[in-house]
Amino acid sequence: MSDLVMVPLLVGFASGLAVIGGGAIVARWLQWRRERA
Amino acid sequence: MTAWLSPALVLITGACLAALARGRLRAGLILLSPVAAGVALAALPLGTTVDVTLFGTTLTWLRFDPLPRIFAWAFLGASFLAAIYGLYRRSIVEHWSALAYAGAAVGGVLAGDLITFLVFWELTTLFSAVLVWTGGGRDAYGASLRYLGFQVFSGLLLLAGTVALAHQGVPLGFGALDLSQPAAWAILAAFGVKAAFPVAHLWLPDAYPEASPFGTVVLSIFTTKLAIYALLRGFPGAEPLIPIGAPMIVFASFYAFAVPDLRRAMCYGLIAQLGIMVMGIGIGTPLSLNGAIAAAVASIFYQALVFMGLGAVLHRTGTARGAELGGLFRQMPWTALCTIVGCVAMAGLPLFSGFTTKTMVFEAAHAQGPLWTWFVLLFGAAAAALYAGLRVPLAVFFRPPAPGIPARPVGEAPLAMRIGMALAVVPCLAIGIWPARLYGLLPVSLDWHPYAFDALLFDTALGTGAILAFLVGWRFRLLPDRQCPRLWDADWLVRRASPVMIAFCAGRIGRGDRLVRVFCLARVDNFIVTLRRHHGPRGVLARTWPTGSTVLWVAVILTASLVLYAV
Repeated sequence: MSDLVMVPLLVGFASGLAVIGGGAIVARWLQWRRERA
Repeated sequence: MTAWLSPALVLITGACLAALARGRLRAGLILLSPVAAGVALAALPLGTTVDVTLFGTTLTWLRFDPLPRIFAWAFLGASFLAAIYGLYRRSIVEHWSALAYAGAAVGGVLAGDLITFLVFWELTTLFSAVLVWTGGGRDAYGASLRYLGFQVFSGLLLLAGTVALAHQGVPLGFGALDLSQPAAWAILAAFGVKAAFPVAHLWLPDAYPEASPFGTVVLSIFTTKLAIYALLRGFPGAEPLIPIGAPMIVFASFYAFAVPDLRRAMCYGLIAQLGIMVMGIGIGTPLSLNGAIAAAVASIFYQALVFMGLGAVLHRTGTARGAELGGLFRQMPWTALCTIVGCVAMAGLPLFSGFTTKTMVFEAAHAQGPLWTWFVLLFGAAAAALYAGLRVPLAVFFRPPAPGIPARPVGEAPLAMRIGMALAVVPCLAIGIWPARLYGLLPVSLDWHPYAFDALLFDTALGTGAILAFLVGWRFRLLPDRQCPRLWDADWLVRRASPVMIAFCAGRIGRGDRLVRVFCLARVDNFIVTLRRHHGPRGVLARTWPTGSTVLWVAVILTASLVLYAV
């Protein structure tokens, strides 16, 4: 039971953080590049 | 005799008649064509095959077995919904191309050999390019040309592969192809362009958002799903599809969450969904193949519904950029509810179509291995919960507009759009709540229960994890809509790097061309000067000689002639 909850919970959380974090890093970098230009 | 009455022909004929009609008759023909095609499809007994002989070659014009049956029904149903949705548009070119495009796609899935399939494959290219082009504006025109380039390339690859197979004496019946033959790889690449394989996907987020709201809905239904059908038919269980599908899911999920234009973002969402299907086809077990088919059918409807909703928002507000929208739930409640249904179906929430279909692929990956494929699929599911289940509804309907963005006093979507959206909700819910009807149409009969307790618990925990991550992102202001400028994909290669490369090459070629021209012109000038020196008005040969000298020279020449004659 714990595997049935913990594994998908962690996978979902990690995947979500990866998607959000990856997008945020790229967005910040683009913003920084635009401001520098 | 009735077998000749292919639903494809019915749709294309209906498109031509609608183009000639006016007013209510035209609207009636636009709506009746998919219905009439449905009647023609229902009249086809399973197992029907129609052969025609053309130039000494026997072509299977129509082959009706369980795989084309499910795709043809889904295409017809979706084209009917799209036709209703699109009635707000007066452009007959759009309606004509949409119906003909649907006809070509249905003809493609019913084609029994590669040559017939190629013909319909090219017809889908032609009609869909018209749909992109009718989006209007310079951007749509450019996008339609780039789109056409990719699709024509796909057609050429399919043609080359088909010709090579024919040359090797391989029968051209459209069945499973052997990847040990190079020709099969060409055909796989052709299917891959339309299925938006990585790098070959550029045309999709480039062209689809440039079409009109109606055009985008129609485009989202056919091309990519026809490619999924082709992969299911030609390459079931082809292992290279697994490593191809995985990056489709991963990279497209990132973009679907971060791209500012929500219609473009949902194009990336579509690519991620296609990745799930491609991996399912690659895994190749009966469960995964059934899952890929079911996911394709469900995706036809929920993807169309999401694009319908975003199209309605674009129609009313003039923008689909997440940063410029917000708080539209009160003003467009009908649109909001329908769009949310499409989004949660795409996210794979229980009771919606995404859950009862995609979980088959997940389970097959878990059972078949390798384990990483399962994790990639779970990543795709969690990401879908974010970009479809949370981002779109929040950005468009619930979150207040950003400071500086004026509140938009907009009305609800036009009636035709609302009816189209409401009807599109039905399959998204029906497949989710009563999936047995869809499962009964699948080629392989399987005992699959999506609502087993374990599966429900697992999916709920996965979604909860994704929501927790979203809340963390919200708390730390990591969400993209307020801050993200234009986000380039590999389309940077086409739209930025290519012009620079072309300009660079053109500069080098121009310089070489100039050098060659200067050299040649100098030689020509020298030749002319030499000629002028001898033959010009003051040239040696043009001078007036004294009579005595002339007589002397004549005498010399005559003497020389006599001497030569004597010798």
